[in-house]
Amino acid sequence: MPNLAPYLVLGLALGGTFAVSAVGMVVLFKATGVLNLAYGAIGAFSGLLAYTLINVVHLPRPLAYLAVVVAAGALSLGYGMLMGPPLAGREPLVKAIGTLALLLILLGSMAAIWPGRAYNLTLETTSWSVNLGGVYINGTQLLAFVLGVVVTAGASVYLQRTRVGTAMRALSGERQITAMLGVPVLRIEAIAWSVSGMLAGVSGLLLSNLVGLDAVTLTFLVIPSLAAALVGRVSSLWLTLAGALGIGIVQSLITPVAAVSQYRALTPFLFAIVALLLVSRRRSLGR
Amino acid sequence: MKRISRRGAVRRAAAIAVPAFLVSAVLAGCTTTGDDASVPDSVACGLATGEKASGEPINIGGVVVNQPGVDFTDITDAAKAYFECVNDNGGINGRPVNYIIKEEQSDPQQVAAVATQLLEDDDVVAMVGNASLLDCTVNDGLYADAGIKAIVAGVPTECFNSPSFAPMNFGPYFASIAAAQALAERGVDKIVVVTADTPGAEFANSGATDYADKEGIPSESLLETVPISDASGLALRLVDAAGPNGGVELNFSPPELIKVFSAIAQQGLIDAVEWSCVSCIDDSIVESLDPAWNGKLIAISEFGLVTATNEDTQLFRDVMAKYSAGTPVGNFAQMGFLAAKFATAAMLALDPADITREGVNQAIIDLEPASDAMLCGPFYYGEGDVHVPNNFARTLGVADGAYTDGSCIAIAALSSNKLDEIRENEKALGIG
Repeated sequence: MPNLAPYLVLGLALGGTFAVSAVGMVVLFKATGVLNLAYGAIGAFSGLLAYTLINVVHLPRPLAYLAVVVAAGALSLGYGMLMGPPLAGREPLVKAIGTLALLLILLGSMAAIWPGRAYNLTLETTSWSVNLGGVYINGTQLLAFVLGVVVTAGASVYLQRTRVGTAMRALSGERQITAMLGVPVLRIEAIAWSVSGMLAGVSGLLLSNLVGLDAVTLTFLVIPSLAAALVGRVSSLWLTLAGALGIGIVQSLITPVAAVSQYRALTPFLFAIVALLLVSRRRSLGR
Repeated sequence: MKRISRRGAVRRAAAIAVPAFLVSAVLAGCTTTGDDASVPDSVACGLATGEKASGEPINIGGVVVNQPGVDFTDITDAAKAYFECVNDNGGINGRPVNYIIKEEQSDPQQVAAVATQLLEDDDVVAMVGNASLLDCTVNDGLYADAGIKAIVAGVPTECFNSPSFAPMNFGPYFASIAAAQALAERGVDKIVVVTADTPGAEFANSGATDYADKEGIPSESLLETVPISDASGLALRLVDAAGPNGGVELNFSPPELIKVFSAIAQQGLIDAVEWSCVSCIDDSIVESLDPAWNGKLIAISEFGLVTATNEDTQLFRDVMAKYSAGTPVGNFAQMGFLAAKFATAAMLALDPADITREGVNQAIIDLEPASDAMLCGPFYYGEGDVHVPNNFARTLGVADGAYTDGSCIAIAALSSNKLDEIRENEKALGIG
């Protein structure tokens, strides 16, 4: 039996990153009712843009990272302001499908702007490492896990304790009634889209390092984040964090198991199915 | 409360998103690919007349796979570049080559359809530079019926075992043998070979495992789904599988290899085992490797270094810089370039007024063994039932972001391949 500790470290790092993006998705859903399927694509775009800003434009790295996070927020905000109001009264499924358009536009753009060759983005934190009892932990892995927890805690406090956060929670209940009470709906939604987009940018940078800078791979890493959000019933941030860490850990721990290793990419789907079944069962028992 | 109109919201959205997107796109569009090679004013290919060919075009076909995780278009892009250079230098005795490329996504029906389109609708006289996971398997019979002798970039076993194909490369199966030979030379106790889980992957891995069996070295064959979403987990798994003093052979396309190499370095695993790779000669790969990799990677190459200072390699670099600057200058491009070069040499022997499919393919068979400094031995087609003209491997190293040259080694003949038969045929042609 191989030593599972390194796989556990990997799983926690990936799970932390999934949590960053899943929390962003949940916050957005709470405020706007939109499940943003283009989340991974925004992250992928951020990673590739960071590569260009650093290697071609030769921006200092901290400035490049800041620029791509801001750009990701702007992209997300732009979509939200353009498509949010016209789809505001539609079903969540329609709103989610709308984000597929953004996903496809970004995928096509990335293929056109960054064609063919392979790209690599290594964060500075990766060069720092510590060996704990034979387990190698690098700075980026630690950062990913810590950020996952910090973002979850921060978002939770924000939603509970601030006026904007309270307004976001109110919006998730009834948009029109909230608007009639004088809450600046568009401004609140704009904040949600921006913050969500910036979190997508951050998770894109982390995943570019942890997984690889590949447009398609990063785009479809929205799936584990979505599964984590579903585990949290797209409302509980702490359950979302637990789901994200669970997906990361399970997916990583089955890697060395020869019999099931090739199926580890199914882990988020299994989590999502179980979560949906439990929610459905709870609803039917509640009737 | 100020009401924001929908039109106002749209304007605000556009004011934010469009500039953000455009600035990003413009900045990113400044990305350069490949080396900063200066573009030569003219390049001498084929007849080297310096005059554009203006006669009736000669249609040549190429089938190439382009799907997420597997993109071989560098090969056909390089072939196209060479043909364009030929066209700028008098073409095929005055007639330009019209190189028609069809992309496919490994759907057998689609692969058959595009080849049929090329042969029947486009009436191509030859197939050159094909680079596909399924073309040789699916279209072997079609090409045999059409009398096609295709000069291809081979992947599945049929490319190396059919009278209808002569691969420019030796492909993943023979590369796998060569990598196993190199690892065995380093005295590893176990060989683990991992390949992208695509059609032909098991066959590719069997080269390494068959060689290991012959030498009495334990081995393990693994397949990995691409695109790889968990390179770090894969890296850990490979090291666990190889064990202490083990050797690992990696067989992925450049974007996937970069992920794996990055993961190996991030996990501190560079010194855990002996690492080797096949299909990995690509600037984007070697430039991504930091100095910790110096001397720690065996890269199996089917061709000489793209940075070599001989005439043939300089021509290759010049053609790529002038006609396909966006294509990475690596093994894939070398394959396409050489396939087009030797096809051109064959066609130049023909009367331009009488270029037919039958004539062109016979000329390919009759091509005198043709040398190029990028190959260890001459290229030929010949009348044999199997063709693997490029059956020597180069074992390159890496140092400071560049490949270091290595020697040519004869790929081992095994009971599972026909190299013994091929080398007998070569003796009859006066080779070796």
